[in-house]
Amino acid sequence: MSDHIVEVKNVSKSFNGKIVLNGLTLNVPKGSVFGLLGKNGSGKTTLIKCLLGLLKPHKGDVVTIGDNPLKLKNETKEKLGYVPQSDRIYPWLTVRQAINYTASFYSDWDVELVNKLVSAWELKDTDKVGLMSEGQVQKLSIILSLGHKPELLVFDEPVASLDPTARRQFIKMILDLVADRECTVFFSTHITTDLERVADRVALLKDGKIDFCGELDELKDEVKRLKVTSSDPITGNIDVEGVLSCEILNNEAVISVRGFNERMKKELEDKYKGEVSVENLNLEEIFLELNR
Amino acid sequence: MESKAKYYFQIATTSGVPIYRQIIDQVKILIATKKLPKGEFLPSVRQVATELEINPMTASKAYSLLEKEGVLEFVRGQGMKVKESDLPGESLEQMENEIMPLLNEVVAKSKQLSLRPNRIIEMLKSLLKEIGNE
Amino acid sequence: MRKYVQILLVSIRNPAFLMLLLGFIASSIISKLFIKMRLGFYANEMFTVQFVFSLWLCFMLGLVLKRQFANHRASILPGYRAPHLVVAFLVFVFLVMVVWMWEIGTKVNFEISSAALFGVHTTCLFMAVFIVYLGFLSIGAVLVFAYLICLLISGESFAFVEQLSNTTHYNIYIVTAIISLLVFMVIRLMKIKEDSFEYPFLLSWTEKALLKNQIKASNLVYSIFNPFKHIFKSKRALDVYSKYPRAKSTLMRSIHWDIAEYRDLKSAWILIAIGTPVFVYFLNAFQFANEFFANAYSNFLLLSIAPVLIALGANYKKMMYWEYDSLKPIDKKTFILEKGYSFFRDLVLFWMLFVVYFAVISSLVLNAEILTTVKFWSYLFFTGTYGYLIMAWISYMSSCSKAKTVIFNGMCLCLLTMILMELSAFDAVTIIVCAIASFVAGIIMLNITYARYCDKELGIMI
Repeated sequence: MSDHIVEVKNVSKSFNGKIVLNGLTLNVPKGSVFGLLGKNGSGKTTLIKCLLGLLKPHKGDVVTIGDNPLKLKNETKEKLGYVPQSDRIYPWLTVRQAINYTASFYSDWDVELVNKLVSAWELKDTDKVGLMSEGQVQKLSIILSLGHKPELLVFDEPVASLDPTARRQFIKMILDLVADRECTVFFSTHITTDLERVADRVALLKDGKIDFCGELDELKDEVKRLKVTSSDPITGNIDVEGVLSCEILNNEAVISVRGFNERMKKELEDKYKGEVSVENLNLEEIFLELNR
Repeated sequence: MESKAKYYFQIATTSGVPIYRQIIDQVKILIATKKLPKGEFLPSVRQVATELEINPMTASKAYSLLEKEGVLEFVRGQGMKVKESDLPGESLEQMENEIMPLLNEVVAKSKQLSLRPNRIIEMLKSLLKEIGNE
Repeated sequence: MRKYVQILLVSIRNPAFLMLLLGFIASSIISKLFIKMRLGFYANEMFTVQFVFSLWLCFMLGLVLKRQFANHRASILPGYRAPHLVVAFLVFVFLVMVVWMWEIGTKVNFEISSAALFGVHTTCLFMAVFIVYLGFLSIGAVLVFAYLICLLISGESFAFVEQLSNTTHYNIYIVTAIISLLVFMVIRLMKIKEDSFEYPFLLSWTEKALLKNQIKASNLVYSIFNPFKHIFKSKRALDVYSKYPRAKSTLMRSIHWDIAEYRDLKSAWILIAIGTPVFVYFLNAFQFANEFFANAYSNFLLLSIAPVLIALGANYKKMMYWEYDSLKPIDKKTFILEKGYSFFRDLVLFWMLFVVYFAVISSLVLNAEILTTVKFWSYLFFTGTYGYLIMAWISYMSSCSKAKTVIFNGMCLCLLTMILMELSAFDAVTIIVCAIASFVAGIIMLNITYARYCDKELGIMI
C-alpha cells in the first residue's frame, strides 16, 4: 500500500452525461517515471485532475501521497508539483517576480536548481510573462513546479509547445531529478518517442479504463507484428488469441497481436505450414495498433 | 571521465526492441568482439543513463540481468566488470541454442532478398575470419 | 510574512491597479492641502474623487481575486487561499483607514456624516463582491455593464455621497445584506474547485474553457432576453448569408455580419411594441424612475456613453472573428470599412433606442414642455455626436499597444466627460457648437485610428 504514491480505485467521472472515466483503477509506484498515453479526448486530463483533487469523481477513491486529494493537507501539497496543459501566469509579472511569488508559498525552495534551469532554458529574469511565447511560458510553468523539490510531479502534456531541443532538455531534467532523489514523475503525452526514452512504466487509457498498465518493456514484448508466409493461399481471418488487426494477400498475412509468445508463433507455423517472422514495434506503432 | 557509455553503446529508443535488451545484446557483442576485454569495468549506471539520455532504471535492469546470466559481476565500490572466467554452466548446446534464432533470421531474410545460400555462407565465413583475427 | 508581501506585490505590479492606488493616495494628499488652505468645498470634492478611486480599486481587486481563485494554484499550492483573501481584505482596510484619517483631519472644518463614510465603504465592498461573484462578469459583453455601473456611480458620486450624508443612520438591512454576501463569498472562495458551479463563470484562464463558458453564458442571456425566438422562427443564417458577401457596395456587405450572427430584428420590434407601454407605466408608477428620468439633462452619460458600451458588448463576439476574417480576399481598407459600417449601424441603433426611450418618451410623460425647446434637441444631438467621439476614442485606444497609453487616454476621456456633463447648464448655441466640435474631433480620431490599423496587424486589440 505504501509502495504506491498514487492509488486510483474504480473511479468514474462524467461530464454532461458523457462518461469519461469508467471504473478506472491505476497504481503509480514510488520512484517510477510513469507515462500516460491515450487518444485525444480519452480522459487523460480528467484523470490527472481527479488525481490532484481539482475534480471530484462521481464514484471511486483516490489516494495521493497518502492523502485524500480533495482535502490535501499543506504538508502533502509541499510534496506535490503540477504543470497543467496550458498554464496562465499573471501576465503583468516578470519571470523573476513569478518565481518569487510561487517560492513564497513553500518552506523549502531550491534556488540553485531554479536559477540553473532559468539560464539553461534561456529565460530572462526580466521578461514579462504576458509577452512570452507559449513555449517559454510552458518552460516557466515547469520550473515553478519543481522549485520546492516535490516527491510527486504531475505533468499534463508538458512538452506540447516545446521544440525538440527544449524537449530533450526537459527529458534530461527529469532523468536528473529521478536519479538524484526519490521522485515520482507522472505525465501524459502524445510524444511516444519521449516516453520510450524516459518512462519505465506506461499506462494506456482507452474507453474510460486502463487498457494496459505495466513496464514499457513488457508492452513491447507483448505487442508484435507477425508476417505469416504460407505455402497455400490463406483463407478467412487468422484466428489467434489477442489479434488486433489482420491483412491477407494471397499466401501472406500481416497480423498484429497482443500477448505474443513463442508458442503462438509455433502454432501459426504449424497451422499455415509456413514461416512466421516477428517484427518488433515501437511505442507509436503499438499505440496505433491498440487503438484501432 | 570521457564519455565511455557513448563509445560502447548505440541505443535506438524508437526501435521495437526494448532498450534494456539492446544494451544486453550490445554488451555481449562487445565481449565477443573483444572490444570489452575480460576484467574491464563498464561505465556506471548513472553514466550510461546521463550520456545516452535514458532512464537509469533501464540501464540498471540491463546490468542486473547480465549479472544474473553470469556475464558481468559486481565489485563493491567499483561497479560492474566483465567476468574473468569463461561462462560457467553454459554448455555448448546452450550457446548454440542462443545463436540459433539469429541464424534463423538470417536464413529468413536471405529468402526474402532472394540471396543464394552459397553467398550467405561466403559472407559468414569472411565475418568469422575478421573476428578471429582480432 | 514573505508570502503576504508577495501576494500584495502581485496586485501592486498590475499597472492599472498601481495607477489607481497612486491616484487614490494623491487625491488624499491634495484634499489635505485644500483643507490647510481652508478650501473646504474643494476638499469635499476631493472626498468624492477618493470615493471614485476606491470604487475602481475595489473593482480591480475583485478582478484580480477572480484570477487568483479560478486557478489550479488555489488547490495545489500550500496555504494559498486564506492569505489571498486576507491581503485583499487588508487592501480594503487600508483604503478605509486612509479615508478615516482624512476624515479625522477634516473634523476641524466640516463634517462628513459617518453614514456617508460607511455608505462609501460598503459600496466599495459590494463592488468587489459583485465583481468576484457575478460570474457573468467574466464575459466581455456583461463586464461592460459593470463598467457602466461604475461609471454611473463615479459620475453621480457627488449626488450619491450627498444622499448618504443626508441619512442620519445607514440602512441596517442593506449593510447586513452586503456583509452576508461578503461572508458567503469568502466561504465559497475557500472551497471552490473546478467542479463547483461558479467556477466556469469566474475568470477562467484556459482560453478554450473561457470561450466555451462565454458562449454558454451568452446563450443563456440571449435565451432569457429573447423569448420570442421560438415564436417567430428566425431565418437560418445560411439561407440569407449567400446574398450579401458578394454585394457590390461595402455597406451592403457589412450587413452580412448581422445575418451571420443570427440576429433577428423581427422579435426586437415585437419587444419594442410591448415594451413601450410597460416602460411608460414604469415611469409613472415608481418615484425613483420619476426622479431619475424627469430631467433628461442629468442623464448625459446614459444617453451618450451607454449606447457605445452596449454596442461594444453586442459586437464583442463578432470582434473575436475579425482576425480570421482578415484572410478574406479583399484589401485591408475595404475590410476595415465593412467592420466599421457594421459597428456604426449598431451604435446608431442603440443610441436612437436610448434617446427615444430615456429622453423623448420619458420627457413626454414626465416633463413635456422640454420637448419644445431648441436646447433639448440640440442636447440630444450633442449626446449623439459625443457618443460618436467616444466610439472614435475607444477605437483609438484599442490600437494602442501599451496599457499606460490606454489608461492615460481613458482618464482624459473621463475628465472630458465630467466637464462636458455640465454643458446642460449652457444655452443651445454653445451646445450645438460643442456637438459639431465633437463630431469633427471624432472624424479626425477615426481617421488617425484607421491609418494606424492599416499599418498594424489586427491581432493587437483590446
